[in-house]
Amino acid sequence: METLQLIFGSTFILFGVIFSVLGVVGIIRLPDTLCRLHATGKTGTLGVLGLCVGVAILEPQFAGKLLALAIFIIFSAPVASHAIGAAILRSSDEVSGIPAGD
Amino acid sequence: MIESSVVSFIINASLVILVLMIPVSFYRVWKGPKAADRLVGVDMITTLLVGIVILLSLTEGTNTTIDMGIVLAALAFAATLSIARYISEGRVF
Repeated sequence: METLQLIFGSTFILFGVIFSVLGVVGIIRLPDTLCRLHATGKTGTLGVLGLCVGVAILEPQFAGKLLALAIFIIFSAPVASHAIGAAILRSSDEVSGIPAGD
Repeated sequence: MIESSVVSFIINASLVILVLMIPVSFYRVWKGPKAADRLVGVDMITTLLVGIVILLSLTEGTNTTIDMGIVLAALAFAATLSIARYISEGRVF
């Protein structure tokens, strides 16, 4: 039980760290603003959720606050990404073939 | 808190990797052609900071460190919404 707990917690923590690194690589390498927003919107949320699950497995008495943080991130991250996307569409003249104001 | 040395090494290495990712994403804040690129970079930096605070609760061994993460996520959400509204409409309120 103890060994299984350590193995699953470490796996979820490594999952979260790998997804965070992939998000940073995405906002450095991708060519367009909307592509960078796509990278940070998905992988940032998934990375933090993986870290939450891993820490909750390793320390089960932290699970309540981690559940609150995970629920808040699940509800707030898509709203923030949508706000940034709307700001990109309204502020620029033309975004990768899409005409302005479309 | 954590007995196994392998798990302790994994947690410390994850902390080092996440801290090293912050200057890399600050490159996008520095070089971004438009203001929205800089906002995307700042959003990624705050997401990485929330992850770092969550991992610090393991090494510190205290439950109250996660409260810092909750407050940081809430403040980052409000800041991102207000800056996105400022970029799109030229005013906040």
